[in-house]
Amino acid sequence: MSWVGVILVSTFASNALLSYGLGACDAARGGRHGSLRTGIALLASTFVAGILLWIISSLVLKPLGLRGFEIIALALVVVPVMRYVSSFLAQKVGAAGEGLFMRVDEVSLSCVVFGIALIVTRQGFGPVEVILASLSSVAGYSAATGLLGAINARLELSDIPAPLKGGPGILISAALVSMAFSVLDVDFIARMVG
Amino acid sequence: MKSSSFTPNPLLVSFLGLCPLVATTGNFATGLAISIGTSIGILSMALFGRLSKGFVPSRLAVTSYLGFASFYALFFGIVLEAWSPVVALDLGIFVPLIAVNCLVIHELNRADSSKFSELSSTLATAITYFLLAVVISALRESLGAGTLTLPTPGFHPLRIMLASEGLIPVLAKPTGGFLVLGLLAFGWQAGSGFMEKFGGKQ
Repeated sequence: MSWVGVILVSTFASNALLSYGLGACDAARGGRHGSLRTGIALLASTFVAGILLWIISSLVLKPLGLRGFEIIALALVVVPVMRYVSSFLAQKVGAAGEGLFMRVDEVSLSCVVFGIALIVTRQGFGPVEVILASLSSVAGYSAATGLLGAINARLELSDIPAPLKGGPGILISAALVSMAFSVLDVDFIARMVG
Repeated sequence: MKSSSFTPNPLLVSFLGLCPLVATTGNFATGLAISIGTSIGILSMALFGRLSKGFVPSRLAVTSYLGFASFYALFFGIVLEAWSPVVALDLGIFVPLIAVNCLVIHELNRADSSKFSELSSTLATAITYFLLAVVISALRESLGAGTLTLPTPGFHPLRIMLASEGLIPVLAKPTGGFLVLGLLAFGWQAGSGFMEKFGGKQ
């Protein structure tokens, strides 16, 4: 698949939230990943997790026939490295960047980071595709969360039954948005851009 | 125990642990498998957290809990693959993701402050999660595809034909997961509001 195809599939057809349900809990609670700082932390964490897991998987796990051990590599190598580097950088940059690196600590245990890293590693991509797929998956997830957040804000102000406001309204809206996104499936994108 | 133990609060009010339910409950076999894996994961995480409280240094707590959860997910994946390779293949990334399921992470956060006597609420959460996942997956597959797939051992899970085609095909897709969970959460919150208004607070 071409690089444009990888970006479009990761953003729309295989959207982390709307196709895999990753981060559905956060989206239903109104989006913990709403702020810019958290978005950047999520982007950085997913990028690092994706590329590190791909390296470990390609150099160690696949040659040894241990593909199932990807989760162990994520939990015992990738996450500790990310947490250590983020706390080190938080001390170095001082108050300005401390909040950002603390968010990296928070989101590093998110199923969005783990899920996207596992998905891109199992696709059989090369390093450039892994980077593109990781970044565009987060972009797709953030776009979906932002869209649902905006719909939720409108629902809160509208005259609908109270039990439908909040989580239930977001989940039903997610169903409709997911239906709209499903128009752009992998085959369609492959035919359009190769 | 009282009612709080058997309420689906973590799922339908706090919206914890939804991720696998959206993607895997379109099929009864995968829904049942993931609900068993997650429920046992919640319980074993709670037990591990309490048993290891005095032994693990606080700075290594997150890594050790996460390591335990990921070894559990790996073990569950191996057992599932031996039992039904097709179901394991269909579940894909969702078996390893049990390690970072929100409810499992929730137990990780609670482990420091909770006592053994509070395990009953964890047990209730696990049972509620299991029952809800089973009901949602049975509903979605029967209405969405007109079949009910049982996770029988071997390469060919038993598929019971209930109808020639699904009544509401969209229910078998991720869209259906969001829809069913949204409607269940709406029903739960409407019911809770009704009980508060007319039957006194639960």
